[in-house]
Amino acid sequence: MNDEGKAAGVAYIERTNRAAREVRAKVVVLAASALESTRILLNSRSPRFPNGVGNSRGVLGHYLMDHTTLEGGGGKMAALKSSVREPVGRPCGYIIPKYVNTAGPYRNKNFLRGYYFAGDGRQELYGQAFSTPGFGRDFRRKVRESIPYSFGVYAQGECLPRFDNYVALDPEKKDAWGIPALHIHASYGENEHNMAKAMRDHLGEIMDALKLEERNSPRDELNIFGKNIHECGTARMGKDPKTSVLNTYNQAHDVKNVFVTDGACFVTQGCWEPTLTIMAISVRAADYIADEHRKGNL
Amino acid sequence: MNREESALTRRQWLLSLGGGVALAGWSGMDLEAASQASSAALPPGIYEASREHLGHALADRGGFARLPADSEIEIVRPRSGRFQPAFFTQTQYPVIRRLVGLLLGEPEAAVIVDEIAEWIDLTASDSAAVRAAAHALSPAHHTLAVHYYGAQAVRRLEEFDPQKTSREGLAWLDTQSQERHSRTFAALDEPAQIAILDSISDNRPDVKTENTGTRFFHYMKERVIHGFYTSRAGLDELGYRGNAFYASPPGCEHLYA
Ligand SMILES: Cc1cc2nc3c(=O)[nH]c(=O)nc-3n(C[C@H](O)[C@H](O)[C@H](O)COP(=O)(O)OP(=O)(O)OC[C@H]3O[C@@H](n4cnc5c(N)ncnc54)[C@H](O)[C@@H]3O)c2cc1C
Repeated sequence: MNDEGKAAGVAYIERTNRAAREVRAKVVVLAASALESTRILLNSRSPRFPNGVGNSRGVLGHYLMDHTTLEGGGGKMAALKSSVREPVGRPCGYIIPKYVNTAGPYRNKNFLRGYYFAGDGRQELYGQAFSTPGFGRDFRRKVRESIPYSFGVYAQGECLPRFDNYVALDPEKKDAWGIPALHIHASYGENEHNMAKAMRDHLGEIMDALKLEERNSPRDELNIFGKNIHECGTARMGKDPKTSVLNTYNQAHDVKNVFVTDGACFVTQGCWEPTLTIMAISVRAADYIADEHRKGNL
Repeated sequence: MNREESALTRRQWLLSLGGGVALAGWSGMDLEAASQASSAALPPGIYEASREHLGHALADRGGFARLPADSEIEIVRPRSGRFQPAFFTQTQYPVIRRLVGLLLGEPEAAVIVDEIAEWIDLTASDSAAVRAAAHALSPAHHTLAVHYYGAQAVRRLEEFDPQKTSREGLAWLDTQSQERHSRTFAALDEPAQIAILDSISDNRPDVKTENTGTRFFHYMKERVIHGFYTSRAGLDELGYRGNAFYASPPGCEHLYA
């Protein structure tokens, strides 16, 4: 930090020789992915920001989100058995957009927000071999000539932002560079579990309609938090510095020349994959930085 | 502020966002340093080869890329001279080879029989270490493994002992052969060997009854299926052409007409 209350630059460790170095910068942009950017901010402690840059209101690290999924639905499409190998083993990967909680008939008052379905249908490569009895040449002929088609389906849903899902610096654990690691405190809440029930019913309806055989039932439980690797939040945007870390242009409320342009800024996550939104927000933030820089505001 | 600085465009800002990563010493390093950095031990977990790699194996008609001599990828264990089994004894290994040949209906001399038998020896010899690694997972990694692969798969990794299954199974084959023909399994002719396999295969009349022989058959067949259908010969037989895509969707041509 410099005397004007701005970030003077960044300190880093050179990977090849572990030398500690600093670079000075007019603007510091963090885009190290949601949890890493937040970890850097939490570790950027100084007399002025004893709990890390961006954390003067204790919001940094909170409102962690990761999509929920209910996986494992599927079976065989009996009507499509074939003896001819398709040029492409995957005739279809598909997505059924979110329709739950959009309009009248799809409303479900048991939970907020919703989920979409995705999966694929494909010709088996050699999975059928395990359930083809026998051995020898005859066995191989059957595996080659009797190719089943599988269908898989899962639902992915929105995780509500909750203050109690958060990351904080671990008091003991350090990374390979001696820098404090994060401890993650996260679980799915009532809304997500209620949504999972609806997901499961819906998946069953889809599988019934397709008349799938040799079925795999969707799992009973949501995937463990974090398995979806779409972690977002922890340095959320907002107009009010009391309840957010960044302003609407990804600029830290605390320090105006610090920006965070990754999924850490998300306030909500929707049920969709995050990357395109991260990219759009980054481009927008870059425009803003260029403008503000030109105006001499940074 | 000088003129150059004030004229920064969005593109330049985006480029310098990328440059920030290089500054932190990640992308500017030389290859030697990179290989040193990557020689660190893998984090604990259960690793599984990706089936997506099959496409690369096929696409490269000029032969497989040569892997570094100390590569940890399963199948590659550089050697010069005759193959020396790491787990099976000198009398057991020829029987494993024979069983692979019978299960595939391939003659003794087929290269694919060697490839699969060598791989079975490799995985059997590594199996105790794999089990130990599965048992040594931290509670957090264990939970993660269960969520990724399912409780059943994780339990099998912890408990299944291919060495015991093979040792007992091979002994069982010899006992049967002695009872039926007063000879070892290896000394039987092909019809006699096949008759014994028929009695323990998953096509046997009393599929419900299990014994040491049926368990060994199950193990060997599962290994042979994995070994064969991920090999060049097996993938060719399946007509698999690697990862590919339709240039236009069949059945929906009107969309592109
Ligand atoms: C297996 C997997 C599949 C996914 N599939 C999808 C998908 O289909 N669709 C989708 O939209 N999203 C998907 N995601 C999520 C998506 O990958 C992330 O949301 C996205 O990559 C985040 O972009 P980012 O730029 O914030 O972070 P990253 O892409 O992680 O980039 C951060 C960069 O910063 C570097 N870095 C980190 N710390 C430091 C440091 N201290 N100093 C210097 N550099 C540093 C990292 O090396 C990295 O290059 C997937 C994620 C995973 C893991």
